[in-house]
Amino acid sequence: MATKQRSGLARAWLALLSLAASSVLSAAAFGGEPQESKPAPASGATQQRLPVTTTSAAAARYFENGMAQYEMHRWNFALNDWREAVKLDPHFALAHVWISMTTVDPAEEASHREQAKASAGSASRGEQLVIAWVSGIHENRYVDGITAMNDALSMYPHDKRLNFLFGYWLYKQDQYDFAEKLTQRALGEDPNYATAYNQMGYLYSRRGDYAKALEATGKYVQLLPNEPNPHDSYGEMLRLSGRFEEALEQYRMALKIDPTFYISQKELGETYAIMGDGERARQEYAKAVHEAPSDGLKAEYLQKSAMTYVRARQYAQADHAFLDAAAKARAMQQWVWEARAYRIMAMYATDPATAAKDLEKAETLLAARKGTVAQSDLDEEQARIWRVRAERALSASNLAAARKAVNNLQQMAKSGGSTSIERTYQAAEGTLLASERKYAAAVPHLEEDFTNPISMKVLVMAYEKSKARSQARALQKRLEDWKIPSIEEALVVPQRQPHSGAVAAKKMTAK
Amino acid sequence: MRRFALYCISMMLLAPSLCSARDVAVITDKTNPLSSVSNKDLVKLLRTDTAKWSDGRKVIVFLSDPYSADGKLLLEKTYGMKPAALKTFADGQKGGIVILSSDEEVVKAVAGQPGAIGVVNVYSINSAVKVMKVDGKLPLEPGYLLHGN
Repeated sequence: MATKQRSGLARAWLALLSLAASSVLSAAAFGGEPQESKPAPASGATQQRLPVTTTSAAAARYFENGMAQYEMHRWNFALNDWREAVKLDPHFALAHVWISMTTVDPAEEASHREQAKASAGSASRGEQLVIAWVSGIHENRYVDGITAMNDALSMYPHDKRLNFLFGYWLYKQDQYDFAEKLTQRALGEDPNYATAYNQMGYLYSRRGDYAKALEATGKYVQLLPNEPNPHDSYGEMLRLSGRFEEALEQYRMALKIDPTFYISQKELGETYAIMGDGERARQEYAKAVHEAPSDGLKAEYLQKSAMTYVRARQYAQADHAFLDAAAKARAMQQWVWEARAYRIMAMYATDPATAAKDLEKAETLLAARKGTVAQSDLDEEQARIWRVRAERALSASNLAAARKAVNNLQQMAKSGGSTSIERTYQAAEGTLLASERKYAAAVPHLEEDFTNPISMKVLVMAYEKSKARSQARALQKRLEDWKIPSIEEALVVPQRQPHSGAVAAKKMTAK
Repeated sequence: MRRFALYCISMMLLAPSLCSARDVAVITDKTNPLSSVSNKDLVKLLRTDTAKWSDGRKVIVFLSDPYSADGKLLLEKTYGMKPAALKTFADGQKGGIVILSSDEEVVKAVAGQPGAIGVVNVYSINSAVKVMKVDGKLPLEPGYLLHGN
């Protein structure tokens, strides 16, 4: 990308001349020092990199620093830099875009997306396309968003950063082939573009090719040996490959380089959790809670710690830890996390009456926060509660109650819910169909929720019953090898839990 | 030993990899006044049972590799035939159905050919073409017909 600035003097001049295009006075190479004054190009067609339009040289520097931090996966530092950039230039469209794309605060996301749109008029055509992409994908106008993304890529096919960033978004959409194409294109432009190797590593790992994932992240470490994130990524690939001790070593190395790199601290907890060492995992999670830069992350890590008891089937201790996590979430005003603690308790509860009470509590907590928490966050958690309601109802052979919960989910998904809500609905529908022994019909629904171990477990059974045996074997193996900690993993991954806690899955397997 | 090697190979072939959701988009040239089509009419267009648009222009269908995951999804949802059968079927349409080697080629061909209709992965679209609604829905909207895994 290239940075194009307008000086303060130029801005006054611009106002006088009604923002005439010829008045853009200075430019700076993206990542370099401000350069001699140059006229703005008539269009971006001949440029190699996406222009970055701002009225402030200092804002441009903050923006670039933020992008460099983003590429190092230091998202909190990136956000701080971009927030400084928009303080200096409130109409800095691209800085607003990347705050919007990176923040985990829904209110901040929406606010900066709106400011990016409001500032689009003074940005270049390429930047306008990036704004259209962000708007489209956040406003459920995916066709518009994807169109804008590909138009921007057509204008700047050689912009390595643009290829990497769009590739990252595609990776997060589980579009691995498209993500790989763009990431490889970025590497074609710069074979030493370290962050692109990281992305390739994660892409390979999603395909189960851990040898290549280790090779790519190994190259990432080689290029940036004194940065924490390469060691963190390499450690993750080692963990996914089952090489736990080596993974721990890499996380410790990342923390030695940067003791505040809280992600690696959390990963130490995750690795011990997967290894089955709950006590050590809790010690590491406790340090991660301390280091976490936001209350949302603290609330999340507290619940990860509580999950270690679920994995060990120590449900009384799990209850105690989740109640403590809920109280702390409440104290930190992390309302959705507070409700989530009760929903999770309902997932593993052995007593149906207790589970029903926990689900009621979770729903009541969510309902009380209507208007104070982003509706999309409330909806996603409500959807998960309905899914648990459906599963619990099926385990009690109450088809009518299960159907009611699934219908609620369907309505929410139909009314423009997020991808997460759509997947939650599809999984619940598939589970219901499987419980009715409509296995072939269940399969496409369950396949939609392909990274959720509970759905995977029901899908294995649906494959088996519908004679898709090779798919069943492959998925069963994937499930047994699953090394990504979550409540769903804690409940169903077979090798580590002798007694499955996935109520619906267990019930149906027994049929 | 040989049996063990065969076992290893078969396990490698079964090596788990994540499937992912996919939506294929129905695209037309931008001069086409239609923005929406019913599933029933779409099948007629893709099979060239409908040979002309309402304004009299000839319908030409551009498709990508029928053996790809996207191609198989399209065949399953509309043509109801296997990839090899589609190739034979397309050969019999005398230029009415053209099979190209990539989505990029399909997008270019549709953009430059008035009366064209094509099918590509939704992540391949750009502003050179118009994406049509199918039964009132665009790709990636809940309930979209041409969606699969």
